[in-house]
Amino acid sequence: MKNKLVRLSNLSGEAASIYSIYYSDKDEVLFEKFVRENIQHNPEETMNIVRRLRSIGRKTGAQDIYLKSDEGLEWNDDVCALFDVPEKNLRLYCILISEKILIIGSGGYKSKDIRKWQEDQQLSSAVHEMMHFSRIVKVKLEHGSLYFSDDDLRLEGNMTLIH
Amino acid sequence: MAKKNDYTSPLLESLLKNITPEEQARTDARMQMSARIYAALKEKGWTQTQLASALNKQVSVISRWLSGTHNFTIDTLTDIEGVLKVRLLDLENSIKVKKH
Repeated sequence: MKNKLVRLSNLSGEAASIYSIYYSDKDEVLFEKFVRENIQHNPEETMNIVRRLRSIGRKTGAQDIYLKSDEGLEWNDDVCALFDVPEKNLRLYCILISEKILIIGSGGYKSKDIRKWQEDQQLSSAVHEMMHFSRIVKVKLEHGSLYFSDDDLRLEGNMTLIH
Repeated sequence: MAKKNDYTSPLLESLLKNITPEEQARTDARMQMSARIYAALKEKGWTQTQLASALNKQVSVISRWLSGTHNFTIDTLTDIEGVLKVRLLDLENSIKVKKH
């Protein structure tokens, strides 16, 4: 199966590029899966996330203040989560590459009954998935098969991520 | 211009059509104000903990303010201006109405 990074042109702009991951076997983009899974039961939170991602892409860039860091298990995996709207608990897991490059994955509703994502199967799966992709992206950037465009606004090179 | 590896999501396109310019402008303003305060904090060489201490707030409150989700009040912005010695609101200059 071939998975690859795709730049979401609907959300990306002059301030940052928002990437997600395309699964060829399911013909599905991870962030679209997240939207489909949550738009019916959490419409306001889902739309709020979409609006904030558009602001990041077009206005502000991916500032670390918008993200909860250290959501992964390893100190250097760069897995983070977009801050929840106060009193809401819809989690979207991301990989912060730079102020101009953000990779968004999936997530789900974090019930108030649980304290850690490890206690929820769906959230746990989403975080592990992002940790896995983060490792691949990091290695590719280190080896130079994936690199930044001259304006640092895009990832270029081999976008394939072997799962 | 669309490039290789660009993907225009039909699903996102349909959702974005439902976002009014006013809704997007409010979200943009919250996020831009957070970024502005954060830039002022860095310029002053302060941490979020120092800002919390200066305003007698918990650090978690400052994190929430800077998350881009907070709807700031004039009072809060005035307090932040006071401790950071920056202008976040431009109240002294006369109003210039945008002409469309």
